Amino acid sequence: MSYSKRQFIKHVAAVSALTSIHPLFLTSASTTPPKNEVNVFPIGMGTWITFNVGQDKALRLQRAQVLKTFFELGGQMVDSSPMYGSAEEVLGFCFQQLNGTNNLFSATKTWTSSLPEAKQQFVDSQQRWQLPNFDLLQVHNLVAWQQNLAMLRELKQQKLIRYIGITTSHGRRHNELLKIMQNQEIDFVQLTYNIDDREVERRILPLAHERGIRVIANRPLQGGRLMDLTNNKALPSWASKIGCHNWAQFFLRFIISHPAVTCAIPATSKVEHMVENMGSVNNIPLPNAQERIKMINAFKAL
Amino acid sequence: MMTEWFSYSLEDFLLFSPEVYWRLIQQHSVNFGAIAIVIEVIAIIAFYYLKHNHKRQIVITILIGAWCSVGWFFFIKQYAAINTFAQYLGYACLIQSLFLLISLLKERTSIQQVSLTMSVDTWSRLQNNVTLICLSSVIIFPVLAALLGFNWGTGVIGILPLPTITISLISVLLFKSRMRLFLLPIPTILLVIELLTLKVLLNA
Repeated sequence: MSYSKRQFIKHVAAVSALTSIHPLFLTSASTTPPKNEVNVFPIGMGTWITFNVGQDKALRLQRAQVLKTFFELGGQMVDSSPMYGSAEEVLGFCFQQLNGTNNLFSATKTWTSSLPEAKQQFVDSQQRWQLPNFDLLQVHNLVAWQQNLAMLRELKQQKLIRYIGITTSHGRRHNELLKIMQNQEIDFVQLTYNIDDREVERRILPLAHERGIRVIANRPLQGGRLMDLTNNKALPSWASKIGCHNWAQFFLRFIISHPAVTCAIPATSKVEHMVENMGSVNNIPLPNAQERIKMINAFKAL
Repeated sequence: MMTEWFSYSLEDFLLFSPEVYWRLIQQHSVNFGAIAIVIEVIAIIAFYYLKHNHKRQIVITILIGAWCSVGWFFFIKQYAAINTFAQYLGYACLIQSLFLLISLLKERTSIQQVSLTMSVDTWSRLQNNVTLICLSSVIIFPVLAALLGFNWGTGVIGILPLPTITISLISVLLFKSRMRLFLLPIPTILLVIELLTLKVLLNA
C-alpha cells in the first residue's frame, strides 16, 4: 500500500482548511503556499535510540521487520544521524535485507564543527546507508551551521543531495533557529513538536509556512513519555470521529493536522507500534482547528 | 548557553535502549567464555599471593592487562558501536594502563623501604586487609552477577568496567602515596559514568 494521490489531496485539503480558519496555529502570512514541492507520506520514521542496536544480529533482523512494515504501509521518510551510534549502519543492513529501498525519502545529518570531518561524515553516511545520494541532509542541532550549510549547498549543487535542512530538538535554541529560517535558503527544518511541546506554534511554524520551509516534527511522542501518560486511560469517545483509534494516532494526527507540518517521525522498535503509527493516516479528514483545541483540552485533562 | 545545558537530562546522553545495553553486556561476557575462567583463576592466585608475599608487581601486572582488555575489547570494540563517546572512555582505560605501567617500574621497593608516616606493622596490617578485600571482591562479583541473572563472566575483572574499576580503586590503597594521585582520577570518573549510566538504564 502506498500513500495515494487521493490521500495526499485529502491531507492537503485538510491542511489548507486549517490554514484559512485557525489563526491560533498560523499567525502570519498563512496564505502563502509552500514553495518546495516535496510530497512525502506524513508519518515518517525516526531512528533515534531504536535503531542503535550495534552488531546484535537478532535485533538487526527485528528492526528490518519494522522497516519492512513501514514501507509496506506507505512510509517514505527515514531520518537518522551519524550521532545515533550504529543506527545508520543498521539501516544499511535493513535495506539490504529488504532488497531495496522502495519509496524511501532518506534524511540524515551532519554533526561536527570540523569541515573535513563533515565531508568525511557524508561519505561515511553514504557507505553506512549504502546509498549514493540522499534526499535530505540536515545540520544536526545547529552545530557549526554557517560552515555546514555552505557544505550542504555544495553537495546540493553536485546533486548528491536534493534538499538541505537544519534541526533542533527538545525545544532548544529557537531564537537562533528563527534567524536561520529568516536569513538562509533552506528547504527543511526539523524541530520538536507534539501536543505537549507547542512553543513552535507561536513563531516558528508560521514562519516556516510563510517561507515555504518544510517541517519535520521530531519527538512526536516525547520519546514515549506521552504514551506512558495514557497508560490504562481510555481514548475520548469522539476520538474515532477524527480518525484516532489509539493514543499514538491521537498524538500523531494532532501533529500532522498542523498546516505547516510536513511529516512527523516517531521512532519505534516494535512492528505493532509501527502499524499503529502508520494508521494515523487514514480516510477520515484530519482534525480541524476546533477539533485540535478539543484534543489539547483532552490531553490536559489526562 | 549554560541554561541550555541545564535543559538536558541524563537520558539525553544515552542513545540506546536498556534492552540493547544489557544484551551487549551479556554477549560480551559470553564471548569471553573460557578466557574469563583463566582470568578469574589468575586473579584469585595473584591476590592470594599478594596477601602472603606483599609483592605488588604481580597485581599491578594483572591490573594493566585488565584495563587494556576493558579499554580495547569492551569500550572500543563493543560499546563504541552503540555509544559514540565510548571510544574516548576506551582511550582513558589505555592511559590508566600506562599509569599502572609507570607504577610497576616505581614499585620495585620492598615493603620495608616504603616511606610512609605509618609504622611498618600498621602498613603491613593495612596491606593485608586491602588484599583480603580485593580477593573477596574477585570472588564475590562473579557470584553476584550470576545471582542477578547475568553471565558470571560479567563480574570478572578485565571483562567489564565495573569490577575492574572497583577492584582498582581498592588496590590503589596498596600503592605509594604519590602514585595514587595518578591512579585515582580515571577509575573515579569512569565509576561515576558507569553509575549514572546504570541509573538511567534502570529507570528507563
